[in-house]
Amino acid sequence: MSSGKKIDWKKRVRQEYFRLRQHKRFQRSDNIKHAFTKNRGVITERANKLNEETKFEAQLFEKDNSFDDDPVTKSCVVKSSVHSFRDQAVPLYTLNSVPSLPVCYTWVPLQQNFMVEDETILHNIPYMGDEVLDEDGAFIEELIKNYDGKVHGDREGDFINDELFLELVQGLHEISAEKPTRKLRSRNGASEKGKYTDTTDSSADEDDTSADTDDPPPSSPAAESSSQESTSFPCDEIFTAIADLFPDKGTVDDLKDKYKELTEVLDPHTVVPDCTPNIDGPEAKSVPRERALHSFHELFCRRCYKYDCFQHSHTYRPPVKANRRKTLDVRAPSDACKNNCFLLLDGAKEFNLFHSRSSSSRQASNRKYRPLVVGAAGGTTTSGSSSGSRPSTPTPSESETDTTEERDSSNLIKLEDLPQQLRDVEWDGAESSLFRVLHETFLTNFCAISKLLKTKTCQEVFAFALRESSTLNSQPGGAGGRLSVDPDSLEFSPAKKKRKHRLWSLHARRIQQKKDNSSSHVYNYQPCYHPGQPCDNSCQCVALGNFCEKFCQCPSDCHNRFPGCRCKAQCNTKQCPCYLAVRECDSDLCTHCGADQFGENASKCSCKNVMIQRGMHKHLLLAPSDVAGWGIYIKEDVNGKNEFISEYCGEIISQDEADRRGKVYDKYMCSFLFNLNNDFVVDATRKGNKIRFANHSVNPNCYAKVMMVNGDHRIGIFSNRPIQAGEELFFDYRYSQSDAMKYVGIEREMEAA
Amino acid sequence: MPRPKKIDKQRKEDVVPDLRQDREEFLRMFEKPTQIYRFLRARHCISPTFLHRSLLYMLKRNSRTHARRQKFKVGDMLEACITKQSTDKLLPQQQYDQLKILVLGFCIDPGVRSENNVGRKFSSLETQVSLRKTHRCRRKDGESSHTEELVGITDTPINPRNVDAYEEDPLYLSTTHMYQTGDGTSVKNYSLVFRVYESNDNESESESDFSDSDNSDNWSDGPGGRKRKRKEDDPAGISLKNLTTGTRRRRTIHDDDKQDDDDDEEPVNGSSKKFKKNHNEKSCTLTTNAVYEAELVMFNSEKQLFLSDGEYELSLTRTKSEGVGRKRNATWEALDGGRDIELLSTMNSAPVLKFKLCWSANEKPGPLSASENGDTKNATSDEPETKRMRRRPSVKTNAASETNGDTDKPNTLPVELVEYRKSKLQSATFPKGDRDEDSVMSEDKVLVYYQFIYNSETQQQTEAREDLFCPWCQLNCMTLYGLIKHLKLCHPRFNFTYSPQQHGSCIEVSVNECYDGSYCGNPQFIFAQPGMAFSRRGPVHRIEVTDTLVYRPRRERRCANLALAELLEKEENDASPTAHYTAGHHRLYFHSRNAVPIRPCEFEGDSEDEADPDWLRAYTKRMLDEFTDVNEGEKPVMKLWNLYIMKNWWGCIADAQLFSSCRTFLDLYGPLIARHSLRNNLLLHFVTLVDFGVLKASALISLMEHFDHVASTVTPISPKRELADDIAQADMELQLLPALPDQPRAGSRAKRVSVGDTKMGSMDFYEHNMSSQVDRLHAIINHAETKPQSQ
Repeated sequence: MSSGKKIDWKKRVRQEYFRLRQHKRFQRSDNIKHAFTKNRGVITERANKLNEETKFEAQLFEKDNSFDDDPVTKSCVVKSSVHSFRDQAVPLYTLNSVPSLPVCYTWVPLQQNFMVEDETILHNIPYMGDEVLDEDGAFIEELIKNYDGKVHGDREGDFINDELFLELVQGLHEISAEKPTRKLRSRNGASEKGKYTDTTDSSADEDDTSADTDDPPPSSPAAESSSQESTSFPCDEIFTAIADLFPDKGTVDDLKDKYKELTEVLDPHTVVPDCTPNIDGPEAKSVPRERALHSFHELFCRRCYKYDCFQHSHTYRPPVKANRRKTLDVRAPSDACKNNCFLLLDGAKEFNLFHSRSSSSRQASNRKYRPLVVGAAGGTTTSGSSSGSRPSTPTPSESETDTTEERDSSNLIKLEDLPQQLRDVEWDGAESSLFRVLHETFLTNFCAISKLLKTKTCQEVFAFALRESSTLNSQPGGAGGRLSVDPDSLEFSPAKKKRKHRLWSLHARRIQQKKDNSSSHVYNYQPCYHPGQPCDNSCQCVALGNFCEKFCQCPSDCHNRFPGCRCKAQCNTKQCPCYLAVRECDSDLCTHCGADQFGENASKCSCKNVMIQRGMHKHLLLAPSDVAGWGIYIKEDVNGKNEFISEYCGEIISQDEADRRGKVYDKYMCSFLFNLNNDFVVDATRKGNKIRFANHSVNPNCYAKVMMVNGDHRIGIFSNRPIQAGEELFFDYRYSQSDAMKYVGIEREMEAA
Repeated sequence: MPRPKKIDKQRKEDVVPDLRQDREEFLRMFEKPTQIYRFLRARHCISPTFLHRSLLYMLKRNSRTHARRQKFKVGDMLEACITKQSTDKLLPQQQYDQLKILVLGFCIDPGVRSENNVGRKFSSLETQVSLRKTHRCRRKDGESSHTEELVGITDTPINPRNVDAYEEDPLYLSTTHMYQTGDGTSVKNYSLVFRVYESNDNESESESDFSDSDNSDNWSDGPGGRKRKRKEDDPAGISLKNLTTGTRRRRTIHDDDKQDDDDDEEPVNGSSKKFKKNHNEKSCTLTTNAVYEAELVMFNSEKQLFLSDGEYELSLTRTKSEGVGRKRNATWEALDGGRDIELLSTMNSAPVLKFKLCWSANEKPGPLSASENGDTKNATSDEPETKRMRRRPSVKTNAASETNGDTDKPNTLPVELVEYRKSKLQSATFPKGDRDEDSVMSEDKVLVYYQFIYNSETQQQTEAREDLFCPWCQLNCMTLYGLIKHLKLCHPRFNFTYSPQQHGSCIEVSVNECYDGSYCGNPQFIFAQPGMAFSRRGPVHRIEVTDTLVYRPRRERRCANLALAELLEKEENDASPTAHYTAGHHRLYFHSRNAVPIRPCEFEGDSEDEADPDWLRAYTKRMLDEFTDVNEGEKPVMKLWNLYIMKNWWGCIADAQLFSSCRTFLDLYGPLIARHSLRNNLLLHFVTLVDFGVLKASALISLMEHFDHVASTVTPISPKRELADDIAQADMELQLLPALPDQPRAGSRAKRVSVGDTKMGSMDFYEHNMSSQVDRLHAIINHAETKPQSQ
């Protein structure tokens, strides 16, 4: 019986497997059909909309009345053999031969570089004609080897993925669970053979077996057991059968572990731990500040100002603590905002005054930045446990001032002094979370906080702040540490005035130095983050020979920072330090050249060194090239040298990926790869912009230059000479001003060799 | 084909054995381009693209001066009309009462002959000219009765090769009585009737003659069907004939004298024959096989004179049909700007009688040769200016309107010859393509040798012409300079090298091997769909395409003296770097996404101006959706912000910009955020910006104030709408809206124009655009229930 069972299981597994696979296939084709119809719907809808729009301005190719279309040559007469029919005379039209268009591959438009990850599997085996395959079959093999033999959609006969495996096990498990309800004997056999490994189900197992041995009336225990079994772990035989059938998938235990792992993930009731409830939603919880801002902080890209940007997100997750002093420009209020302002409360004024004074005195005396939260914390810790609540006071001077503050603040207002109705105000989760968020920004400016909260008066906010601080003190080890002093922000003491002069005297030499030693290798910029350390040799910016940018975590007076230019001209000569350093002017650094003028003031910007970041490209037109394939033509005149034409955009890929892709491109004899820096390559094959159609020429009218634009390397195409409207654009693929840029492909290999 | 043939004939004596091969060589080189230029010439006559007289090097052709314009008064027009009327009435009555009719020849087109009777050959023809009087009828409904007076009968050559040879047999018609309006009440109008009789007696000589001329006709008809409409202007027949015969005859009044001289000098071709004047009436009845007939109205009932001096071609119709009736030819559709081309085909299909009319005073002609000279002289001197017809731009079917159009001022209109041709079915007039030669030019003998160089510059054939007509398009270029310029510019398939010679000038002609015969018109037309011609609604955008101007050489002098020296040195510095070629003026551009030709209306739009293609918008939304630990309140704010940044990414390239960007963001999306009550998330978003140090805390306060202001106008959401739908719709709307003009491109555009104005302009535009955007978005978001509120 047992052996028969085994065979039965094996057969069942196979049956189930094929059924599932078929089901999958149907499902997939259904999905495709569904997607197809949906896309068609979208297309027709869009077409209708387009038609609507263009109904009145529709312009089609119209014939003109010049003689080009006149049928002057001859009339064509079609004579009818049937006598009664008239001969039909038609004017003869000359049909001009229409030149065939060059081959055009699909590509996706893009106006900014797009970072993609390395492809670990070969997505398709490139087809280059039968000849290539015939004479160079080794190429494909080598290619596949590059991807460790992984080819997309590779399906072997016994291929089984996780999803399928899970469904298979569950399907079989259901069958095994159903069986007892139908046939008691087989259920017995199954449950006897079944050995439940899951400890949580062991009790159920015992119940089940005991029920079986007791042989109770079949109705209730069977239902019970089946209900239990549906959540229980599937029996062993299933796994053995599967392991038999797919020997490459591992042993029985492996399969079981995998199953466990998969089911755990699938459990719908497990809450993702990091997810805070919607702050606008009904179940908003009172969470600490970091939780409330977690998603925003995690996803925001400091460099693109976007959430989850597709250029830096793969490589760069910034820590949040930037140098924020200049942004915190809201001082504590001195006047009451309205009739029932918290300042009118007893003691509140002193409280406020104390904080503002302490902060200003601190800033004046030792130029150290310290968020006023500290003061708030200190101010409220009249119980004397303040030193305990602030575990890391970095300098003795700091602690000294704090102690003096403590002494001063000992007579400040406490929560107990406030009127009862203020203390009893109900604060819901969202409000309290928001308060914590805002409190760090606005400190003791409770008027501003209440204005932003909108639902609470400043008196209530004040009361809540007092309550908050007291609760924080009572549990110092918890979230209270969050409100304490941030050591990073206290680290660097600026000596601003003196430094700046030195900076300027230094920086020309520095640039020269950079040019000397980093001529061959330009590395990608990564914002540095080394709290407590000045930018020395351990800093990655310094190590890679990059300047620190405004995105770095180092203080703004870091000696490795690029100071920007002070040109009053167009910044298009080497007089401009930015231009000399192959950088575009930074709108936040260079203010003299007008790089900081935007919008309606854009005409005030005399700087010509901001073209890439502002996207001031020329209008380009696509047409079949005079040289080969497609070409790109310029629509307007270019008046001089070094004018910006367009940015060469594409996918940013790693050098390794470029090597892999380049093998295929070289075979195609058509490559859109462009070395960006030592780490990355721009590939415009799949995504790009129109300049990708520019052809190669040894006598070009354009050149390419990799520029540092706000921390990113970007490729600008500039004019070599004045270009007339309608000219085709060429640039030299082989080399350019910066040596690092090489036409990827043959030359790179030559370089390596 | 015939041209080489002619040349062969000339050279027949010299090189007999090489003849055939030589001819083939010549043919191969010059036949195709010549045919093409013949064709183009014909086309230009039908639908001209430009006027020759407006060309710089053809200034002589423009005889109109603008001097009169400066002292123009409105009263002048009336005066002109009055003088014209008075002269109209007076002049014809006073003087011209004798009409000399000179029948030049009878031309049969191959098309007609093949249709009627292919094999038959006409031997000799007689033309009977009679005057038909249409009598006024008493009863109005009755048919008007005709009476005919025979004027004369003359022998007519068939397909004459050289029309000048038959000048000696004029018929005279006295018209004195026709002017008498008072008593001649019974006669309604006078018309000339031409009847051509065919006689059967075959002479061997004429037969051979006929075959010869047949040939010449054959080839001159060539591929272009309309070529024959005017013998004078026919680029094919005449040009080649003239090339071969050496001189070019002009039937103008002014150079009649000279022509006579030319006649004497010129060797008469073998085919010329003398025909006797025959007054015998019975001859017409004797041998009539086929009678062709045509009528030409002389005077209408108002006694207006329709005929003036000049050469006429009259298309004849058959009166007595024998055998199969004349089939209707394939007709042309009137595609040519509404002109009736059937008239032209009439000229093609029907046989044509050529004759010449000449008015003279009422003197009985003396001896033929003497009187002719005298007559023509007379006629020339006395020719009233009012007789001259203005060139009419369009063909009118009604002949009566012909004379009414004669409104030209006598002293401004140059001497101009007008040819008339009339068919019996429809009388029509045609403008004469060429003006008269300048008398000055015709005085000194111009001799232009054309040297055709072929067979890789080893052989040459020379032809000489005595005038300055372009051999290919019969254009009178008036000056040698103009001629060579014309040749060089209008016939690029040939190379022309000019060199002055002792007795004239020599132009070397060779085939331009470098000529690029590819299509050089508007590239849009190549892709034009034939069915689209009628789907035009209103004015449309045209792409800037130059159709005719390709080469723009630098012009040193302004036409003060168009010196021939310029042409001489031309050859060397032709490839000078100063030559300014307009590149790509007729290139067809394509959309980069789908390789569809760019239509003119789409030409200005740059697809790269939008930085956020559809897929990227969808992508960023999807990427955010994929996060599991980002809650449903954060996602929409992030999405909206991302979409906004992507739309205006130039609006967020610096920290300094962020505040204004956020404000705009609130203007656009504030209502949406308020409707879905995402205020706290928005606040968190701004706090994040502050945390990252890109926004100031004070800015945060003012932004939230702004948001509250925006939100105060929005009612909280009443029907629960899917947030995702709302975002999608807002996204779509944002996509449709034009990009904000404060982007850098606008700035760069403004730089080009003067600073002050554009700054204002662009700012106005910005604000206007901004508010309209906001309005639209409000309208979308608020649906119908809330009123869109403008900022």
